[in-house]
Order: sequence, then C-alpha cells, then structure tokens
Amino acid sequence: MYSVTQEEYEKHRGALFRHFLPDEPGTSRDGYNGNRRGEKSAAQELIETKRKSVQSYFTRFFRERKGETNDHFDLKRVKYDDLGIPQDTGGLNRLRFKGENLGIVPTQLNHIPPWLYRHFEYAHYVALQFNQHQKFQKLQKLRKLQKELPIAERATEIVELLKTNQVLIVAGDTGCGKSTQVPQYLLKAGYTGVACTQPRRIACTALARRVAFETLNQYGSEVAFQIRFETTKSQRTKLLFLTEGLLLRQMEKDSLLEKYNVIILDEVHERHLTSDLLIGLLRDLCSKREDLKLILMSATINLDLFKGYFEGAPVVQVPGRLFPIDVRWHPIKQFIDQSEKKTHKIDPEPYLRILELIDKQFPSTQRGDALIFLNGVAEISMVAEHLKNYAEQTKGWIILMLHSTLSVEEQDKVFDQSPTGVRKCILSTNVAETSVTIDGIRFVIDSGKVNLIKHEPGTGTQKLTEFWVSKASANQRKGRAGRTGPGICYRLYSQEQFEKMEDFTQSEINRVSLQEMSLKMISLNLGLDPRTFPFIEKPSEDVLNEGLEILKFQRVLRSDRDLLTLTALGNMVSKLPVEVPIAKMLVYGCVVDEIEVMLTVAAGLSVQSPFTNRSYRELEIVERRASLTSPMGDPFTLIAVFREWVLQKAYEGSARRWTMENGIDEHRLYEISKLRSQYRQILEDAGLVEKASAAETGEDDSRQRRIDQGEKRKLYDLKRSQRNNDRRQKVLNANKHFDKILEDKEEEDLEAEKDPLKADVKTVEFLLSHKQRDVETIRKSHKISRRTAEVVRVIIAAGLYPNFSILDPVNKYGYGQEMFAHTRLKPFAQIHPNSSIAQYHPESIDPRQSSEGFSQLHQVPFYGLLLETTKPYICNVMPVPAVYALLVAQKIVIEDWTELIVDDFLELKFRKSEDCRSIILDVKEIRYELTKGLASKLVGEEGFSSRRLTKYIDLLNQSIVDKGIELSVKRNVHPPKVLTGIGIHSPDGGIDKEEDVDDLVQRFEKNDVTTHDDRDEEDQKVLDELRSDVMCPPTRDMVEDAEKLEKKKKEVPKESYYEKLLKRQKAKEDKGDDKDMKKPKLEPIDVKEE
Amino acid sequence: MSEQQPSTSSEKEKISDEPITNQEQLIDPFIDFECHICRMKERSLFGELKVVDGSYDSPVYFIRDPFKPPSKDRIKKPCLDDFLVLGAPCSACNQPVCMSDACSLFFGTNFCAPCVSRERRRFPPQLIRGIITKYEAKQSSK
Repeated sequence: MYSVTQEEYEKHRGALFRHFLPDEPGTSRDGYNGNRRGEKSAAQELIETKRKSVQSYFTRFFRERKGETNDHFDLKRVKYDDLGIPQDTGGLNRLRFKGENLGIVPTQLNHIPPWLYRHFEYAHYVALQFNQHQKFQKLQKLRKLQKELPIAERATEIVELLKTNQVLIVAGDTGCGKSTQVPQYLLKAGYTGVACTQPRRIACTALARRVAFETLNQYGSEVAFQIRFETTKSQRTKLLFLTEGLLLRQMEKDSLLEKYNVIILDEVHERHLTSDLLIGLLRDLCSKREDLKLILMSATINLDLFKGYFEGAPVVQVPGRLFPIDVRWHPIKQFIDQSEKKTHKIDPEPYLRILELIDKQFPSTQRGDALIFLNGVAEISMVAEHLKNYAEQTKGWIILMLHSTLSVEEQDKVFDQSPTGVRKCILSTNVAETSVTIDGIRFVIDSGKVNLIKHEPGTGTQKLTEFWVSKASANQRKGRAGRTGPGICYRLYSQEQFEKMEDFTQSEINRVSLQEMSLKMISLNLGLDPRTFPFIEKPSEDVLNEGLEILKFQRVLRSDRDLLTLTALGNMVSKLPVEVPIAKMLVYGCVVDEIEVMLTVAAGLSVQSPFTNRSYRELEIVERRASLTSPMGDPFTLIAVFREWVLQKAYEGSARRWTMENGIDEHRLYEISKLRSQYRQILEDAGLVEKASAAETGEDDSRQRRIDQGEKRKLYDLKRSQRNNDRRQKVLNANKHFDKILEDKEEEDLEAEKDPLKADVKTVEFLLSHKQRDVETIRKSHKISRRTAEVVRVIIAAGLYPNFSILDPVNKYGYGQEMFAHTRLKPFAQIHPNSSIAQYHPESIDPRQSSEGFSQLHQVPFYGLLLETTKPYICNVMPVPAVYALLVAQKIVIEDWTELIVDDFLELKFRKSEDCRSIILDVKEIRYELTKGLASKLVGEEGFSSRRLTKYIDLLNQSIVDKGIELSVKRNVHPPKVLTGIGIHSPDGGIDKEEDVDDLVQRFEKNDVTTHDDRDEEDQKVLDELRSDVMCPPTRDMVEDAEKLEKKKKEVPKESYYEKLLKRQKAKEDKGDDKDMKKPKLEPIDVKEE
Repeated sequence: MSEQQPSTSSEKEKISDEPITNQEQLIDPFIDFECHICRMKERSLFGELKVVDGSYDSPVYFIRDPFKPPSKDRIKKPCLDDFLVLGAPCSACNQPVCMSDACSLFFGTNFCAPCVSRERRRFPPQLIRGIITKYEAKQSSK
C-alpha cells in the first residue's frame, strides 16, 4: 500500500508542475497575455488544460481513495506473461507511452518522495493520453458523420460509374452531402486535378475549408479554393473549388482546360447564366477531350432537364436528409394600400405575432433560432425596427439582419451564437436561402416574397420587382428550419397561394440582359454564336439580339459584319474581367495616360458604393462628408474618398476612425485597392501599360527586398493565425441588436489602431502593397486639376456611352428635389437621391437657361446603371457639358450649322453658327486623336502621345467656358431603337464616316505607319499657334480643309507633324484649292440612311 | 520490454516527420491503415514514434495532428501532442487495430478486441469488462 497525504502533495505540487508542465516560452506569469488582441497561444492553452486535468486527477485521488493505492507506478518491477500481459499492478501498465527517464527523479526534485514523483508522472501521462484520446474521438466522430450521410452508400457506385462514363449526374437534395463528399470520393479514388465550381465565392471558401478538414488536410494545400482576389492553390493542390466565372475565364486562355481531369459543376439547378453557359461549353469539350470527366451535381427538382441535355449519362439520385418540419399557414392580408402611389409598405405586425407565438409555445430553455425571409432591404429594416422594440422589452431575442449591402463584419454576426435563454432572429433576403447556411435555425418565417432583378427588354432597365417565390424556393426556405433538428416553418400566405406559385424560379438566362454573356462567348474564340449555341434552355431571341445591338452600340462588336466579330477594342475589353463600360474606361485611361485615376474609378464602379447604407440616414455623417463629394459626380467623389483614405492609411494611421466618422465601409475601399492592382496587372499583361521597373518598385535594392520579405512573412503568419481564430464561434451580446452589434468591434478597432504593432491583416496587406512611392503617386494623381478632370470626364463618358441622359426641362434643382433625366430608351428616370449630385450638388447641373432654352451651362448626365425599384433611377451619375456628348457619340447630324442631332436623340441648338462650326472642328480633332490613340495602344504602338489630345480637350473646354457658347438642349422623344447611319453627317448630305479603329489597327499591324520620330519636337507653342487660328470663325471650306488634312494625316503618316502644320497654315492662307495631294474627304459612301 | 530505449529519439523523429513537410516526396511514406475490426480507414505513417516528451515502445500508425496548425517554430522539437496515433498492430495476432475503446485495449501492450475476448481469463476482469461487452454486442448484431 502506498499513500500520500494531501498536505504532502500540496507542498510539492508547485515544483512538480513546473517540472512537467512549464509555461510556454513567451507567456508571462502574471496572467497578462501580450499577444495580439489578447489571445493565448494554442500551446499555452493546451498546457493549461493538462495542468487542470492533472490537478483534477489528484483531487479525485484524495477524495475517492483517500490518497491510498496499491499501484507502485514503477515499470521496472512489473512481471509479464508470455503475451505481454502484466502480472502485477502499477498504473503505468495502462499507458501507451513512456518518457525517456521514466521513474528517474531528477536531482533538483530529490526532496520529493520517489513514489509521489512517479505518481505525478503517471498523472501527467494520463493527461497526455487523454488528449490523444480526444483527438482520436474527434476523428472517429467525423468519420461517423461522413458515413451517415445519405450519399455515403453510393460512394463506390459513383467512382465505378465514372470509370466507364464520361459524364455523370449526381442529384440530391439539401443535406445529402454531395458537395462535400463527392470531391473526396474522387480524391480517394486517386484522381488529381479535380475542379469543382460553385456559383458563389463564399461557398468556395467554406467548402474548401470543410473538405480540407474532412480529408485531414486542413493545414495543407491539397484542397484549395480560388476566388477573385484570393487563392490557396499550390503545386500540391489536387482539388480546387472555384467560382463558375473563374472557370469560364480560364477557358479563354486554355479552351481545353487541360489542367483538370475532372470537372464538377455544382448547384447547376440554380441555373445561373454562367453555369448554363458552362454546361453547354463543357458538353462540347467532352467530345474534344475523351479523358475529361464531367460531373453535374444538382438538386432533384429539375433533374429531367439535365437528363435530357446529357443523353445517356447515368444518374445517381440520393435522398436529402432533413429533420421533419411542421408547416403552419398564417396567411396575412396582402398589400394593404396598393392603390396608393407610395409603395405598399410592409406590415411588421404579423412577424411580431409569430415571435410572440414562439415565446408562448416553446420555453426559452429550448434552443433554436428564427430566420425570417423578406424580399428587400427596406422591408427588413422596417420589420427589424419593430421587432427590436419587442426584443428590448422581453430580452428574449437578438434581432439581426442579413443582406448583401451590409458590411462583411455585420454579415458575419449572424453566425455568432446567442447566449443561453436568448434566441437570435435573423431577418434576411433570399441570400439565406442557398448561399448562406446558418446553423441552429429552428423556426423559419417565410413572407413568400422575393425581389428579383429583371432585365426589361426595350428600355435597357434593370428592374427590381417583388415577386411571389416559386414552390422550389419556398421549400428551400422551409428546409432551412430542419438542418439541425426538427423545425417549424410559418408561411405568411395561404396554401391556395402556394399551389398557385410557379414550380421553379425563372432561370437567369430568361431574366437578365445577355450582352455580357454574348461577349464572353464570342471572346472564347471558339467560333460560337450565341444565337445558334445549343443552350440547355434557349434564351429569347429578342433579348439576345438586343444584347448584341448594345455591344455594337458600345463598339465592341463589329456592326458591319453578319458574322459576330469583335472589334479591336472589343478584343481588349473582353480580356478584362469587368463589365464593358468599365473595361472601356480602363483602355481609354491608358490612351490618355490617366491610368492611376481610371483604375480607381473602374474599381470603384465594380464594387458597391463605399458609403454605408445606414450613413445616408445620419445627418451628422452626411454633413461631415460633404467636402469629399464632387459636383462633377460620383466618380469624382470616389476618387476623392479613395485618395483621402489612402493618405489616412499611410500617413495618419487613423483610417478606421476616419471611415467610421464618414460612414464609409472600409472593406469596400480595401476591395478597391485590391481591384486596382488586379486591373493594373491585367493591363500590364495586355501590354497597355508598362510594368514598373525593378528600380521603381525598389526590387533592385537588397535591403528593401529583405524588409519586404520580413513583412510578407509577418503577413502570412497573421493571415494564418486569423484564419485559425475565425473558427471560434463568438457569443452575441443579448442587448445588442442589428444597429449596435458593431460597437464593440469598432471600439476594439479604434483601440488597436493606436498601436501600430497591432495592425490587422488587411492593414498590413495594404501597407505591403502600397509603398511610399505608390502612396505618393495616388496622392498626386488623385488630386485632380481642372485640366485633368476634363480629360477624365471625357474618358469616363466614353466608357459609359451610350448611357447618357437628358435632363428634364422642368426640373427644379434644389436639395431634396426629385430630378428627372430621360435616357434614350427610358424617359423620366430619376437621378438617384444618394448620388453626389442629388444629395450635395443639385445646383451644379442647373442650366439656368433663358426662356428660349439657351444657356452656357447645359449638361448631360452620364450614368452607370439604370435600375428600377419603386421608380427608375440612374445611379453613378456624372454630368458633363452637353457638348461632350459629341465626343463619344456614334452619329452626329449637322443641320445647317446651328443644330446638331446626336444619336437621333439629343438635339443641340447653337445660338451662333460659328460656335457650332468651331465646336465641330474641335470635336473632330479630339475624336480623331482618341481613335488614333486607341488604335496605337491596341497594337502596342509606341508613337502616340496623349499630350495633344489632352491639350485639345482642354481647349474645347476653355472655348466652352471662355467664349460662353450658348446652346439649347432638346430631346427626341421617340429615338429609334437601333442606330443606323453612323458617322458625322454634314448639312450637304455628306457623311464623314471617320476612321475606324479596326482599320487603323490593321494598318498599324501591317506597318504602314512608320515611326513618329519627330514627335518630341512637338511644342506647346506650336499647338497654341495652331489653335489660335481656329479661334477665328472658320468657314465651311476651312472645316473641310481641316478634315482633309486630318484624313491626310492618316493616309500619309510619314509626313511629320510640323510639315502638316505648315501645309495647313498655307491652306488657310490660300483659302481654297490645294486639293492636289489629298483624296477627297467627303465621298458618297454606301451608308444606309434612315 | 519495459526497458527504455536509449535516447536516439530526435533522430528517429526526423525520419518519420520529414516526409510530411518535405517538398520532394519521392517515395510516398504513407500507407493505408485499416482497422481490422471497425474498418476505419486512413492514410497514415507507420513506425516508432519517439519524441521529446515520450515514446511508444512498439510501432504505431500515426499522422500529424490534423486539427492543429503545424508549428510555426521550426526549432521547437515535436512532442506527442503534435501527432495523432490512429492504431497499432495487436501484439497477439499482429493485425492492425485502431485506438477506439471498442476495438483495442492497452494493458502492458496492445491487444485487439477478439484477442482480449479469447484470452479473457488472463486479464483483470474489471479492466476488460467494457471492451468485451462492446465486442460481444457487435458480434451478435452481425
């Protein structure tokens, strides 16, 4: 019998603990954890757990066995039989592992009785073994869960089928495990190069993380994801989750997708535009690549469609797994005030009643959260406000919101846990239907409504309208209640209504405009024609043709050929992963050497507005940020905001505070800065901008390189530790609802910002990618002079074209006034009240016209998007002087030198005929320079200098401002849908078709154009001289001469500029006929007149 | 067999540890481990696991702890907690068996459930009660 008293143990305890379980190096004793954001290192945590378990072992030993035992804890004394079974007691027999110096008491612990030492050693190993045991159980549990998934039974079948078939369809409903398991089966079967597409970025990252965890490769890179900005891919990656759009983009470079052996298209039943296109393309690819395997994974709802499209492909159908869900119908009266002009406001009362019902029927001790599906942000805010009052009274609920315009931090809050006794109630749009899965939902409250964006053919409008959901999505919503346990779905509509609903939600291809998709198809260079492509579901021919027309309007598709061919510009545009207008801006930005600013504008237009939704309602913030806004419109506001942020970030170190004070979502700015560098990369690859040299980036400096390396290492560590931290679920504060949830975080951030050592991942990343030099570039380039501003305006307009509008003549320009603008196809669109113009600078677009409508100040607003919600709105508005429309328009008809009709839509009437002539002259000059610059950029010609173009634009602006050219603006109420007769039409019926970019490009490529060697001699003075000539009212002959000269410039390009200039001056002096060496400019051309 | 091995542990550890982190995996060090009782199947390493704070005295099937990020600290020697032992051969029948309570028992050395059941008279009864009940329940359900 061995024994030890508690006193004896207590006496030696400290020394033993210090010996066996010392603190992690770097952890200070006083309990202060100096780590970033105060968290303990995982190793230290493990040590503390072990200490606790040793301590509790001894506590139990004293309590249950009174400190007595027969175990001698001495391995040396144990006898074993022939099987190795011990014939003697001694606790160590039950331990799987042993220390090296087992039982040998180290000298510094000589004062401790050897038996106690050995006993403590035993307890310590028990703790180690317990840790092993826990990890093993975790693994066991994981494998058990996997085995229990409905799809697990079919694992071998799936792998076998894939051996003999090229295409396989796996159909299974929510919870069957297809997305996580099927890729793993492939990995186990030895496939490498597996790509799995997802419609959403968030699904890519989440699935990659989950599958990596399940394959025990959580910290390796065998399973990786790739989304727009981020990838975890490495050479060792065998399975890659990526977005559909990204796979499509990869097809552009590698049309056979040779790096993949298996392609899995997941969630094809959602019928997104890209997935529809991919299905078609990959079906085609299968016939080209016999070794490629294709797996389609879909829900069971519209399985027949896919079966029919892939004839003969085997189908593996798996039941879903959901807990039983009780459906309760609570129909409410729909649309109480439908007759009123104001939109039908949602009545929050029924939602409140359901919450009350839940409180009544289920004790708060039973866990389970609620999820409310509503159609839009406005409805969510309204109901949330109402429910918050209730929640504040009862203290039983935390009200949260989830929709895509929230900041990422706010969105993440829905995943946090509510404290015991309190339920969370999440009000969500349909993002929670498929994209976002929240655990622990027991109650679903379904309004039955959804807001869908629908392209309205014929007007170019994106219309956001409220619809009844389809049966498929109503059931999907219901299913959200049964993921973790039995649930209840409250439907706020009647069963009859449910019966009336459509079976499926209309697929995207039937709902949206098809121009971007058409462009993508054509740019794949596979000779595809969207009009004849065998889509899984044929899109409407009208919508398709309209899309093609728009592409022609945007000059990315050649309008003069039947076969769909991209223009040189279109070719470049399709290489940039952005919408056409933004791509065009970038390309033109390169032409005029304003790439820094254009990168910001383009990036800014590709992401959501950096101003938070909420900030528009807070008067203080709205006033504070007034100085950032620009009367030149939203793009310029964006430039100012970005500049200020970069400076705050780089020099002040108080960007977080600044963004909060100005109601700005910093994430959007990070996105912009990332997009900027991505776009720059693309432009560099395309040869449009030059790569920064090593000397410029500091890469030739070994010291700098070392610093960078260190920083990169730090960033990598930070990212990793953050990723690991993210896994911990946080608990919500019961008193903080949707409007207050970020308070703690904000305070913490502000606190952290004071200490540069606590910089978060994003800041480090930002500082690493923005060196002093880059920040200085932004600081300088984004402070826009008047002169640059004009150029930038023209470039943005060129990108946005044909999206321009005409202000309504009866508008009142004041704060809070509704201002209407007529677009070509949609009259009476309103300037969005949140735009810089409407909110801060309405007076700046007031033409203050005379009674006949003449004014020097007429402007036409260009816009990024025409979106119809309750009303048609134009967003991202940028007004420019009306004359600028002439610079980008395709068709200008000159009527007797006072009136110009632009694109059969905008009518400009000049008070004086000479103004009109001079303007036309300037305009032609600029247009030609722009075309030429574009062409030389597109073929990579070095010779073009933007100085002249900049100068011309400046002069045009000056002449508008200084000379005070007065004109009136009218609109053609019924402009034709399709524009015919492109070119500049003179009053005498001649049409100046202008130089086509493509012809120029071709000519450049044939090397017809030789060096522009004497460009450098160009002198500002010469230019000024030239322009001063033009200032005298030119006669028609003069205009023609100028045109001829222009033409000649193109045709006899060897002629130096100076020579041309001389000739031109001579021509003017002669006032007449030196047509000897020029071809007639105005030849009758076979252009279709309307 | 109760004797401690002289401490060559750190060297041995390197052999078993390197292939996981090393870039060039010329020979795949991983083998398939399958428990002959519960059919649990994992890719794992096989060999002696000896690290600074303890060792297994017979070869085991093990992997790097998959639930914990690999140590940032390259100097730090690996310890038992950096690994997860999946199983070991049964010392009686030599078949691989996993660490689950229902499949194996460690008493002096590793035994699988069928061997424990067969040799039950040689074990202290209270020690093997659990595994025997689980094993017999499983046998009868088959």
